[in-house]
Parts: sequence; structure tokens; C-alpha cells
Amino acid sequence: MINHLRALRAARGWSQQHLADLLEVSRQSVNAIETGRYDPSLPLAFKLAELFDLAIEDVFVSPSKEQ
Amino acid sequence: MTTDGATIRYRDPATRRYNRRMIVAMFSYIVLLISVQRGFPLDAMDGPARWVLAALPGLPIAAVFWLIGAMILDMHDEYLRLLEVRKAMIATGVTMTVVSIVGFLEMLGGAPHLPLFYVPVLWFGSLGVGQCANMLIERQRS
Repeated sequence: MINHLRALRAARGWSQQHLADLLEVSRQSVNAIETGRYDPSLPLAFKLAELFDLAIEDVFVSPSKEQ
Repeated sequence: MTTDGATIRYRDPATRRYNRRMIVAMFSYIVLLISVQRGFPLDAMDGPARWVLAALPGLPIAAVFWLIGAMILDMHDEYLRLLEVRKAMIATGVTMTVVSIVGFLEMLGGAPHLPLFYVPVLWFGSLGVGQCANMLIERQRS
């Protein structure tokens, strides 16, 4: 699933490791989500969106809207 | 993060528990194997007592499969859990493929009998194949 995680993270100056610590997951998980290799569960997607103070659709692009 | 801002590298508590339990299981295996082999005249024994003693070292090995299952169920990090599940499934597939072929080689091809003890050994070895497959799949997708 396409997402804006890398840009959102960069805008806050957070490293993947820092985001992983905030989410209480591994850095590999953040990397896998960021590069679209892994689609997170809904609870993790909500947690991510809440960390950035955004709605889920502002972080992840709906597959039906992908070009 | 700790209160003083130092970064903690993520280690899943389920993996730590698995490592601790694995050490106990392997230690139990060595103790049971040596005790049974050196403490009892197995060749001179017969019947249920010998069967029970002979089966004892197999219990810690069997426990390892349960420990792996418990670790997968308990893992907090869902992406790492996916990798562990895929690794175990690949190991199971490799093992089942090999033992299916070997079974027919024994039955129809006159191949020597492979003791069942080697099935879990093969599965543990196949976890390495699963690990390599994980690396390749993840590298391909990135």
C-alpha cells in the first residue's frame, strides 16, 4: 500500500529508529511499511496516524485511489 | 524511549522469552540424553520402562516446536511475526517435500531407511532455507 510515511517522518526530522521506538516495533517494521513491503494492521495504522496527528487516509493511500 | 531520551533498540519480549526457554529445553535435552544413555542399561532392558526412558530425550525436542509456536503467537511486532510464520511454513514445506520423496524411495526404490529422528533435524535445518527465502523476498520487494 502506497503511503506518505517517509515524507511525514522526514518533515519531523525523525529517524526510522525513532519512529519504531514510538510505535514499539522494530526498525525493520517501519522500513517495511514505509517501502510498501508490508501493510500494517488497522490498530498499527491508527497508531501511526495518531502519532502524526493525522487521519489514516492522510498517511496511507487507498488502493482504489492508487494510480 | 527512556525518560532521559536515550533510544532503546527494539527487542520483542516474546523473542527474549523464547531464547530463555530454548536454553532450558536444550539443557534438559543434554541432561536427559546423557542420563538415559549412561544411567540405564537400555540394551538389557525391555518393555514399557525402556520405551519411557528412550522417549525422554525426545520431549525437550518436541517442546521446541511448542516454544516456536508460543513465540509466534506472543510476538508484538506483527511484521517480524509475519517473517517468522513464513520461515516456519517454508521449513515445513521443505521437510514435507523431502520426507515424501524419501518415503517413496524407501518403499519403492530400495533406499535405506531414514530414522524418524532426522525429520525434526531436517525441519530445524530448513529454517535456514526459510530465513534465506525471507531475505530474498524482502530484498526483491524493496
